[in-house]
Amino acid sequence: MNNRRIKNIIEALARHNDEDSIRVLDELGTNCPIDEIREMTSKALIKKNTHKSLETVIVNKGKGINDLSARVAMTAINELLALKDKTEAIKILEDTINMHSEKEVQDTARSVKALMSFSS
Amino acid sequence: MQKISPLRASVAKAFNDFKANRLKKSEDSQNLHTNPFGITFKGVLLQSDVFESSTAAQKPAIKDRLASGTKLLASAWVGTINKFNSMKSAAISFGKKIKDSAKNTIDMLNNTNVEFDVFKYNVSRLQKQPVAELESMLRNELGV
Repeated sequence: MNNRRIKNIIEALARHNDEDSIRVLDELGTNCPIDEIREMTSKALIKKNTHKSLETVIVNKGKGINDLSARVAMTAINELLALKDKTEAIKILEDTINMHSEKEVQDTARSVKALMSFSS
Repeated sequence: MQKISPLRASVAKAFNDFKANRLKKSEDSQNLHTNPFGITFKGVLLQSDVFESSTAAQKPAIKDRLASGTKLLASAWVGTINKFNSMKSAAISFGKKIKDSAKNTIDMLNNTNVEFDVFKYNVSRLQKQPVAELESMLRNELGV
């Protein structure tokens, strides 16, 4: 496994205009057992800043901000905080707080939303 | 003066004796030169003409000398030809070796797909590729 190559491919998928790149990142990156790959994928998905990509890292349990690895979750949160346009992210966080079935996911979303409102 | 004169006389005598001896020795040495081994026959020192070369007496005829010269020349010529032939074959084998190695290198280069990672996995280059291709590349790298 060559980390530099993987990093470049994930970076290329993050910059890609094709919507299908989100599916690839979700399918291969966020489900990868290696923390480093999940971390890179979460960052890439947040950088895309689209509804579908943000939903993947905010709503899904065990992915992005809900990742079991604290390092991956913190990286995702930092990336969300660093977004220039946070509108879409806040909207998805609000929807998650109001409508998600899992309380744990709701709590995480609430904490991240609070952080985002403080930072903006 | 009277005291010195007998001494002078003895010195002069000794000098004359020494001179005579030296002359004799030089004559002997001259004789030895002509007869380097100093061989004597019944007490008489043999002269140089005794040692005259036996081959000199049997000098070959001009015809024979010419024939032997020709033979020498022919053998020298054959030797030179052999030398040149060996040099020629060595040069040819060296040339063949160089040609073969060059051919092998060209074949190897033709059969090798030279791709540098730096260019192949460049982000801007990857970005232009279809997602399906990137997916397969990522699958390969992750071993999924």
